[in-house]
Amino acid sequence: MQAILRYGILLVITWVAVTVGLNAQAAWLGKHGFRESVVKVYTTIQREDYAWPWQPAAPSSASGSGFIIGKKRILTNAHVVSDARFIEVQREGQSRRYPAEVAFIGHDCDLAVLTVRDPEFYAEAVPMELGDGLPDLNEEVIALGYPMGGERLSLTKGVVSRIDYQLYTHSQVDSHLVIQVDAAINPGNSGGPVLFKGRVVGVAFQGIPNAQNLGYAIPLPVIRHFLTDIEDGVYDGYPEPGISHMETPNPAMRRNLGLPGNDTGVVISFIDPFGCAIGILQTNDTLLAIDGHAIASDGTVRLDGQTIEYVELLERKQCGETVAFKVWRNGQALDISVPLANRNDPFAFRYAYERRPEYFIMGGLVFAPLSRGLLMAAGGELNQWYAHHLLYYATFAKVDGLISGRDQFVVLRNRLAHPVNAYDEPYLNKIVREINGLPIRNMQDLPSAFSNPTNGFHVIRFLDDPDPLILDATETANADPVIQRRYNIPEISHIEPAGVRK
Amino acid sequence: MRNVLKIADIKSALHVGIPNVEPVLYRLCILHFHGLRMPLMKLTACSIVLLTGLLFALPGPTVAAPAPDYDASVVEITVTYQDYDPQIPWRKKASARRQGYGVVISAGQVLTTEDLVRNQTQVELRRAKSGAKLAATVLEADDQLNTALLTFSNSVTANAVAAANALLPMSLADTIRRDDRLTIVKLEKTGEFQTSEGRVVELSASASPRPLALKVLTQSSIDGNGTPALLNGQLAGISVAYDKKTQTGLFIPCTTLRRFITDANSPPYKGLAWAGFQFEPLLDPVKRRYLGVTETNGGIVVTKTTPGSGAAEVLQAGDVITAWDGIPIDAQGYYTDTDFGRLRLAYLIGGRRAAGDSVPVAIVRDRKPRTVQVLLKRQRDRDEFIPEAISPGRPGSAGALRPGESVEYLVEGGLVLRELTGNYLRASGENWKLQMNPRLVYYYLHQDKFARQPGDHVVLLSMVLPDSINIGYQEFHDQAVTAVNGQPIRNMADVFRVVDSAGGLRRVTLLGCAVDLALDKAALTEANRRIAEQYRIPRLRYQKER
Repeated sequence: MQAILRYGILLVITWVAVTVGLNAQAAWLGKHGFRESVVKVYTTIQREDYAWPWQPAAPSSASGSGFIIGKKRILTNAHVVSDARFIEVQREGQSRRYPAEVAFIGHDCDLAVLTVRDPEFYAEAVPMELGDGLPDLNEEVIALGYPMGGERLSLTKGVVSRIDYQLYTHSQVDSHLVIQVDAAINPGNSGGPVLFKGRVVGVAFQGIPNAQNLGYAIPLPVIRHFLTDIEDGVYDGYPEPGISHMETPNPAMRRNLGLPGNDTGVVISFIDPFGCAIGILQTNDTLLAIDGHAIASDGTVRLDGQTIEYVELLERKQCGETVAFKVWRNGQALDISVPLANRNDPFAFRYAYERRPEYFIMGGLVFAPLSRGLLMAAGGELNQWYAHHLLYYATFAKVDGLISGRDQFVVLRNRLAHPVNAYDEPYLNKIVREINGLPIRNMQDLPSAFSNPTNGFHVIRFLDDPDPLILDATETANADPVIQRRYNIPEISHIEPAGVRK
Repeated sequence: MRNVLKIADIKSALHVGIPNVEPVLYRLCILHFHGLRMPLMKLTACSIVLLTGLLFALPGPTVAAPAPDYDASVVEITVTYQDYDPQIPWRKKASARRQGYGVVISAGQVLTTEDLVRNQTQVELRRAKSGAKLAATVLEADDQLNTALLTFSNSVTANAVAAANALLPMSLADTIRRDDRLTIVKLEKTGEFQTSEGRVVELSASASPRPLALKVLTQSSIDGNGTPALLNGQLAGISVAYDKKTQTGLFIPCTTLRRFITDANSPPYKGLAWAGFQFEPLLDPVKRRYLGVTETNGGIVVTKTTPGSGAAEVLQAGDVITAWDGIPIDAQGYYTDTDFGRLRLAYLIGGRRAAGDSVPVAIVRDRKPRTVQVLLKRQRDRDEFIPEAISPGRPGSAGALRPGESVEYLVEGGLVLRELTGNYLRASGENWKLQMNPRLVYYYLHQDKFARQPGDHVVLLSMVLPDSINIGYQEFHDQAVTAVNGQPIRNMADVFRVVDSAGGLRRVTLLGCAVDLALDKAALTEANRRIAEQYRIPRLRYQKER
């Protein structure tokens, strides 16, 4: 339940947490041999520009950290190498950098595997080993990396201060387990290893601006999940059951649901139409157990003497596996298996990387799909009445049933001024409902809808507004080449084929 | 050296700290109030400078030429007001005071602005010269016009009666035009009136309900609403706002004031006429061709009508309005007013007609011209899908609330149910649009979209007061409620009806959440008592009389 009702999630876009690394101190490294395994990652990043989508932003250089694991692979953060045009890596002590490529990238878990073709790079490298389990609270861990762009390896010590679920800011949508370390983490350390008793238990990846001595690392279970996932050569991502639940500590609610016992189960309050549980589980089903482990009323299970959230058990699974629930439905306990998958969810509104923004220009009017990139580019405009509804549609698309046959919300985002669109400013930021009588379900519908003018006009109708925008079809066709030249637009549209979007 | 020195200046000089002057200055204050009885010889050199200034501030030579006796027509108004906490309806904020001015417009009646007397608990009129105070009551307050008419209270002392008798009504100017030179009357702290000149630079009707505003470029600043501006000694307008940067004041013109006074003195109060539609300009020649309105240059296109309004009965989205009440409307929604020149359609609708009138409207629909009759009504905040609920007026006025009245609410098992209001949303701060639940903000900003029955509102679970009866629900807040006890509800009246018939709140259904929040029937009474005691809630419900 909370995940859905916490409408604040999208607002995180305005408070983007900075990715950070760890400070340096001791020199006791040498004897442990870690020096040979940690690499500095040099990148040239070129982001997309959602305000001017036909042209990427200016390239800029950045750096991060990584470390060599088995099979001549380098593990780092996805955000270190996302949207990178060129990547080089360099081990401590090496005299030159080696070009590297992204072999696998998981944007939902902020992890990536890089490879280097030149075998010389790996000479005498000792791959780091993954640990057996998570360190306990107050266990001392060390973090290695290249914070603040330094050339020499840095090391920080700290203790594990918390292990909890937290938002991964890279996708701005996904939450997984996180290790919190009481050491200041700074940009550049991202992708570096966090070691416990000489073995990897985490990958440093994010911090909180203005919070002191707090660093976050991606813990072992998430790392293992990623590495297992890519074993078949493809990264599928985490399965998405798509269920929101409410805890059931309230006796009146328990009676209302007819639940047995007094401390069991969480009740399903919403089922995501794009999750894999839809059609199998139902709202008001109560999940009593997962894979044989009883779920308490607060959603926890006891496992190996530890109390963990049942979601953590789900998170250990891969797409293609199944999860077995014991479900309380209509006064009966049922055993229900859910095959796990990660369906293409166009309304997840993850931040998209490595993907050109879609757009379509007609008569100087720029149409673009509602995306997190678009929302972030809109920024403060969302605090204005004329754009705020984009936040609502993005947040409540599925819960409030706003989708109705669409797989994208197509927004009239911009106007490239030209006499043909002189009066069209008031329509900006509205969501297109139909054009020339054809419903607009996604960007691909646009070209065909515009190919059938209505009595010489293009009639564009929007959600929440009965007043249509009218273009003269002939004038419009003549204007676009002029607009394209005037505004230096290489292509009049970029629309992804169906199925590519995610 | 300043030639006028006020008490406030002396106090600030004290704060700056001129050590050897302090005790003397204190006496200066006394001196000011009680006459020149103090021996002046004791003053130090430094304080003599200050005293010189003070002497000029006393009735005397520095004040500009003695103006007409405004003391008989302009009174200072001190309003003690108390607002409800917009987020916690049983909680009242501490009372506060604000000051402004009023103009005596007839025997026993004073005109001022509505926002001065909003949420008033006590209104006092003060004669500038004598300092005599009169208690006043609000006869009528209109938040759409931002005007209020006060009468003197019956329970006045003999002295006050005398003071009232000496009051002299001011007559209203017939009309006002651009470039008119106005005399703005200001009351100094000394009790002396000062005048300065202002020029009418703009006459405009805003899109908001307030129909016509004068923008007046002034020579000196205006502090306090209700400051009168005169044209040839007659009241031309009262101030509602002042912008220091542009040195312009916003005034409600005499034409609006006259209407209001007449209306308020012939109950029932009718208020501003309102048609209930929204429009867009129709400038785009392509769109004009598409809509088939090429033969005329003017016209605006209707985009939305408000359910329950006169427009909703006869107009529809896509209609092009070419003339209103016999007067042509241009493509931007302006017309040429016989008195004021180019004005927005809003003034033609609200400014010249009264609620209850029916006006002919020329439209083009489906490319064919036709004329429809639009019944003008009064726009009432409480009829809105999401009312503002900021401005209680009198019963029957536009405000959703009566004076001193809170919004309706129900606290059951710690669950706080109430209706969503604009005031509630905005209470979360400047960035309320990003801070509040985007669904509620969307409902509010797009409320015209929701086709609805009059009386439909958004019922909220606004907060949960933690208690053992509501464990598991305590994180919920600002959620739209669709049903209680399994029955669909449209407003708080429905909530009270359903809850009362069941003897209590059993279940709450939230929008987008399939699981009901259930309350333990057996524990409810005791929980309510406990919650009222723990959180010191004087009343667990407030329900309006209907």
